[in-house]
Amino acid sequence: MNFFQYFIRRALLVTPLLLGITVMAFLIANLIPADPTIANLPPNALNDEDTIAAFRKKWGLDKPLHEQYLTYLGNLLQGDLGTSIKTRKPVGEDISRRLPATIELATLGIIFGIALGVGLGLVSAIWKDSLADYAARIIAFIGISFPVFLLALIFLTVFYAQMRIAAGPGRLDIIMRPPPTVTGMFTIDALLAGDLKTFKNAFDHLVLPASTLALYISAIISRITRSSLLEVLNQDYMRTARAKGLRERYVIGFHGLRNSLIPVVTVIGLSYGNLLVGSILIESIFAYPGIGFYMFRASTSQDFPAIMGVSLLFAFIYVGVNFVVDIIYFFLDPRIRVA
Amino acid sequence: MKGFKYILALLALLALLVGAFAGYAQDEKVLVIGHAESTDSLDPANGFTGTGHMINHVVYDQLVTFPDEDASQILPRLADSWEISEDGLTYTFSLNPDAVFANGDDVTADDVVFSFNRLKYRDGNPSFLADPIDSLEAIDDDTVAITVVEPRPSFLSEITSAVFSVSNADVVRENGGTDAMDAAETDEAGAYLDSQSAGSGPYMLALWEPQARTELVRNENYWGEQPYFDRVIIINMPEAATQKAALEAGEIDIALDLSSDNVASLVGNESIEIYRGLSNWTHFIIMNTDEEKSGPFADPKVQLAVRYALDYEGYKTLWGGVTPGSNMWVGLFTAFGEDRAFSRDLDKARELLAEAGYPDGLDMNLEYPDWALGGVSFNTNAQKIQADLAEAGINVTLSPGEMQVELAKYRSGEHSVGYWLWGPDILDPIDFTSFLPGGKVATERNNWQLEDVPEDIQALIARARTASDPDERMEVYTALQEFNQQQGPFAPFVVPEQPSAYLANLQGFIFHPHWTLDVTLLSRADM
Repeated sequence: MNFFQYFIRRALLVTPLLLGITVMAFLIANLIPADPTIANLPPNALNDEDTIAAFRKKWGLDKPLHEQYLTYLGNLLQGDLGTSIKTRKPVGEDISRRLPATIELATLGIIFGIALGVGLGLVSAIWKDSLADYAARIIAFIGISFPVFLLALIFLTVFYAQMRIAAGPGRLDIIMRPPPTVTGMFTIDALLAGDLKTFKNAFDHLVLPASTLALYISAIISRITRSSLLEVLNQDYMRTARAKGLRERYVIGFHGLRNSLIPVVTVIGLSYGNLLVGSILIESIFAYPGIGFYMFRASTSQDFPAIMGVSLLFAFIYVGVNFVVDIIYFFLDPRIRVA
Repeated sequence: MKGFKYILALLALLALLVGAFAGYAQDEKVLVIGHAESTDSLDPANGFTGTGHMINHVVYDQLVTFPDEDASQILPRLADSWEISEDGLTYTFSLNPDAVFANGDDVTADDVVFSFNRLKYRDGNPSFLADPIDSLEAIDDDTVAITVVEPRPSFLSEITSAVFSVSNADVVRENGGTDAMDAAETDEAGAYLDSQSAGSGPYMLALWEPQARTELVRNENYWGEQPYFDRVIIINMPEAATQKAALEAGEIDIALDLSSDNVASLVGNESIEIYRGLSNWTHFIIMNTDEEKSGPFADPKVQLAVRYALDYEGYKTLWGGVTPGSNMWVGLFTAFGEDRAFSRDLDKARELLAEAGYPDGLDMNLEYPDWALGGVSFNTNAQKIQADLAEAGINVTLSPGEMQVELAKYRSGEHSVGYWLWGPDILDPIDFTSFLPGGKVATERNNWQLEDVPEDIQALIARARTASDPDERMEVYTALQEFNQQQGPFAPFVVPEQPSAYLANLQGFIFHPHWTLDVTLLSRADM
């Protein structure tokens, strides 16, 4: 099988996958026993049957489910994600305004996460069963088992409200103006505008939520790094490297880490997708107006068009990442080329 | 040396840029509110949420308004006086001739007609509130007559709502608005009114970024007294814990939506004041009057026993607030408050049960939604009801259900004994008629028919629907609340508190049952 065939085969698989995701998202959003009228109308208005009927008609909720789905799909094919019940704006517009904020946060989160995760993994593997190993494993254990929203709240209370050493909720200090929009990512836009003060402020506001996300994903990264490196350290070529007199630093750095990083890279790729999903709770607690925050509000108010839009986006990102990973495997693993 | 100068110039330019982008004018007085935003639209004829009311209350003017702290009387606003015709059908308002919109245009009777018709025909979430209006007429520039379909003593209370804001007809028309009968399909001013306002209030809408922030700036053309703050920023912080952290850090002036447990840890913080406002929710038990549905609980004696068996002080310990004396929200004119509320009397409860023929106790099935509002949990209260009633010999089985399912049962009157809450649709005593035979809750939801009650009570109920004289209303509503206390199928037990907190240097914070907070009353003390 050549690369082109492989590429086409993978790409063809993606289409029905996305279609299936629209069906699943639509069904899940509609079958859960909750009513968008209750979620969106104030409790007082629920006493008025006319208001409820008008609301259902306006948002097409009075039509049979299959009809609602087909209408949605038809609009989707024309690139129309519909209008959010909550914000009354086109979902596509809502997403494009909020996605850059989340990308900014998730990117910093993954950078912190890699630094922490690979670092801890290295320490654990090299000094296996030492005190440092146990300490690193405990940190990983906390990161993986501690509810992420609780971690966020503790960070916010301790470092922001009590110690006052970190910036708080939001993307900027409340009295700051956002930089002129180019990418939608405040740090980059501030730099493009040559506005260092805003850059620093936007960066400061990313530190706490990104650290929370980093702790959350570093657990997985450090465990994979540790086990993968331990496996590599026992390989014959490591003994050979030591036997030919290389310094330990080079043995670990060039022969060990490099070979053990392949599974780590895979996990990092997938973690990036996880970060976007994990951002739902983090963004809500940090009042950070990104896509997770948007999804949180959409889910709690049964805002179907918004839920569908974000689900599709998340699915697209996951599928995209997996697609890229599949393509990378083709180059990394000769066995795929033969199969 | 030349290079050094170049760098210096670059640095100077950079400093200039940093200054230019850094934010608001230094001398601006800014108020920052942390709030779980609920806004769906800031178009007064389309939005219908708590946050929308708070904003449009100060961005637009309404014809009449309530006092700062409650709903006890009607005060002038755009209208400086009004007359009600003999038959109670026509309200004629004289508009204040000084009133101008933010762009300098006069506020005229035509603007009132346009705004109310647009609300009526727009088919938005709040449009039903305009249903009682039959017709509107601009008699001259400063006089407008509104005719209602039938006599409606609560009409003035109803039009205090920000939904009945008067907007600048010319501006709204220019931006796609219409008050025609097909406004539901043809009005396109929503997007405009979501980004800027067309009102005559003390503030103007400067920015609304949904779910992130709303900014108001002072209307320099305001025809009344200028408010203290130049700019009001409402930051969306959905989590109470986030609001609390931001308040402790001093980044926001007000944390508007806290819950009882958040507030506890702020007690003793000298830089923060806690305000324990009253929510407008009355929590109550409802016992089906149809014997086939509720068995023994259709008996007024058993219903009274339940009222005597509840530990009212205990609910206040849980949620703060007050014990209501009836199902009329305690903040309303004529409403029974704690002074007329029940106290727990278990002996009396047991005695009543024995009289009703249940000396050895009886079983109750309590149906309620698995829900919480403003931090107050139905499950917690239901468990307490179970424990309270057990002491009187009533063995309660808890039957929580999903909101939609329970609501359907409740609406169709299928429940046996239920636990629900009620917030007034209208801030007027007439709202209480819902809990009297012939009313929505009493009859539609609980099968309590008019013919079930004595004729003198039937006559009182009829008077309650039409009486507009304050003395007569006091007499009628007092008698009806007393009747419900003794004979009614409801057991209201708590109106929980709605706590907020703010920086101690802020002055004038008042929680209002309708618009939550009037930002024009706020100022900052020099400290």
